[in-house]
Amino acid sequence: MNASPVLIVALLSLSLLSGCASTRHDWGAYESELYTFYKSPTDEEKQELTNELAKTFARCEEKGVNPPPGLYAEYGTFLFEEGDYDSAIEYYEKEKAAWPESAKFMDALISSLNQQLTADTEKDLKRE
Amino acid sequence: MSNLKGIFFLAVGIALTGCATQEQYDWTAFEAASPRSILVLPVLNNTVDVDAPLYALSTLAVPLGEKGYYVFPVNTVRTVLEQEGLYEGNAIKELGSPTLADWFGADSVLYVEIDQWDAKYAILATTVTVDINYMLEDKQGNRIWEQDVTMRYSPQQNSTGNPLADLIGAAIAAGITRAAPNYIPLMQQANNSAFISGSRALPNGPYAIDSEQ
Repeated sequence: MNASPVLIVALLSLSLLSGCASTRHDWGAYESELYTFYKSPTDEEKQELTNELAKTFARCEEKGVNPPPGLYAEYGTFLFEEGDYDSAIEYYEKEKAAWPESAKFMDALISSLNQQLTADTEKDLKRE
Repeated sequence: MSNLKGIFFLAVGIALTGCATQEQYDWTAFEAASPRSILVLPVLNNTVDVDAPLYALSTLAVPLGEKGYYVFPVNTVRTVLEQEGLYEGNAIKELGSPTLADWFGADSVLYVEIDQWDAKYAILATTVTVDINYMLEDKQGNRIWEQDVTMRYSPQQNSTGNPLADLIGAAIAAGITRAAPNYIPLMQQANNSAFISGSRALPNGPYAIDSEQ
């Protein structure tokens, strides 16, 4: 009987506190991977971050929920930096479909990539 | 038995105030804007610590997203701004919220300014004192929310019950911290106390668990 009130208090506080702390989104290790990449912006760290994002997408898509806001677009930007414009556009489209608030920004990114793609194609055609 | 009841209510009380303390704050401007989305900009650093803004920028999206807001992709925003030649917090802030909100299609713009980031190294534990200002403007440039967070933080250490072992462990921990500090938990605490648990915690955004239709 001596220990039980303490135990009750501990359990109660724990359950109530965890009630405040349930997460809305599955972020994976986005924060720490992003920091590590900022701290040392190498190809290796960028790869770690994109791998982490891909894992998060797989988990979310399996559950049928949207990944957290912004993450599809972050992934798209890394693809853009690698020169893979088609896949970048695909991920910007995904961001827009998941989060309509992003529409204006995503449309701007997509149209600038499309212009770049058209310019590249014209250059290739001239070369031929 | 009455003793037990007292403890029970005390515990409920403590736990509830932990979630729900709110100071008298004028929410009129915030409610008028009622933003759905928040543009997080590269952090303004008024300290000599070069890592502080990196810790801040990489930890802002999570608490705001958890609060139910659409948070613009921080690294994509940063990349786009850099392509425009905008590398630094002050230069970006000078553009003004109406311009920035229009570029990205944002309802509101978050400015985070680090005013203090001092690490005091001691044998037992390194203590960092930080002062961070968070300010939200609507797309017209009206200030709709502001909070200042000052806190002290020491990386955690576990007691072994042996004072000498603790002392050696602490010295090692301080050494490690000096070599490769991890202040992500510090920034998480500061952000949480600004956005989620503090006296001016933000109202839920449209995607919050509670306000989901």
